Amino acid sequence: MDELDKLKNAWKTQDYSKHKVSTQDIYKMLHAKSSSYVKWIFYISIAEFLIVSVLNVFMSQKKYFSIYEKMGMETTLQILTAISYLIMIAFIVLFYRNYKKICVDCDSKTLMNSILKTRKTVKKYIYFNIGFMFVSMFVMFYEIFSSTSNTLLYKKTSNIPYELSNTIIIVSISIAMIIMIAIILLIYRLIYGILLRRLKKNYKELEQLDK
Amino acid sequence: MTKNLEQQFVTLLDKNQNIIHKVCSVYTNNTDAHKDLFQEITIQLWKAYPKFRGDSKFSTWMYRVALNTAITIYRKSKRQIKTSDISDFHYRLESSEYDATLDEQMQLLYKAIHQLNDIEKALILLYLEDKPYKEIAETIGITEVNARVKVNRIKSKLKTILNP
Repeated sequence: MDELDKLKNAWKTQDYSKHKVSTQDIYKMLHAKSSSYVKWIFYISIAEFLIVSVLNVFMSQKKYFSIYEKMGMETTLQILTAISYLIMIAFIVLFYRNYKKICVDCDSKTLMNSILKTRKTVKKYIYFNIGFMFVSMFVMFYEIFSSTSNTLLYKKTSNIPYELSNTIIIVSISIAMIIMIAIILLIYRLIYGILLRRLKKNYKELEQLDK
Repeated sequence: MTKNLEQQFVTLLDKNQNIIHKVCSVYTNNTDAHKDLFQEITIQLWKAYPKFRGDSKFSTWMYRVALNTAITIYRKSKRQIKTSDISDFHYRLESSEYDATLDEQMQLLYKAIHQLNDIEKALILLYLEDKPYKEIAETIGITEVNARVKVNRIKSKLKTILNP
């Protein structure tokens, strides 16, 4: 019998009376607040969906877009807004379905995989929105700068000197957008980097075990 | 109905609470953290209990939920004092069988287990609990062959730590 086998017998006869929890305390615990990662991931994901929706609503406000209406870009805007809402609904459904699949009594690998998959749905949604923002921006640039009257109106309402070339305007706005998105992504990666570090490490370890 | 379910659950949990203590003792190293993890495991077990159909034994199901909570679900409370107090975990053997040398070796074993990573801890805990490799593999989500290989590696690692 090796040393660990001897300890194995001792392991089973350990006395935990010092830590014994009374049935009254167990009853109390059933109604206590959980501090699980899954709960946090769920809340943060909901917040992300909400923030993006609020931004979408804000961006599609009539007041905000009155200038674009004057430029005859209403239809383009309506199409872009409708696409973004449809995609959002699809992502929310997908997120909810993946979230419901998270089961704490599955095997560890399946549980980790389902959490990461749920998380990935929101991540894809954020990336989609960033991509969509760029596509929308370039569609708008095209609509504004392909017509002289629209260009004039745009420069006038945005207080941009008429002499400033269109290329400079497009490049400046694009750079500003890229910097803003880079900052958002950096914060985003930092939050999730901390939140999912342990989970990813353990999942990697499990994957390596099965190689 | 809920009251009955609650009562049934508490009775079962009370009878098997040593399982949770064993998981807590492997994943934490002070009393506060032990209590905190015990509570989180209890909450997760209670949440999952309505889905428990008795396909496996209650204790087997408990190991699965408890280990999943410790490895993946549990978010350490910021309130916890970050100290390692092994003496707090003086898991004395039952008094009738008390053996000072064995007790010392058990403490060394705990110290060694605390040096392992989360997955290794789960594997060695199930091994020490004498679980068959099939069950170990099914709990963790790896193949039986890999479970056997990994457990043997961890055993060698532990032996080296125990006999430097």
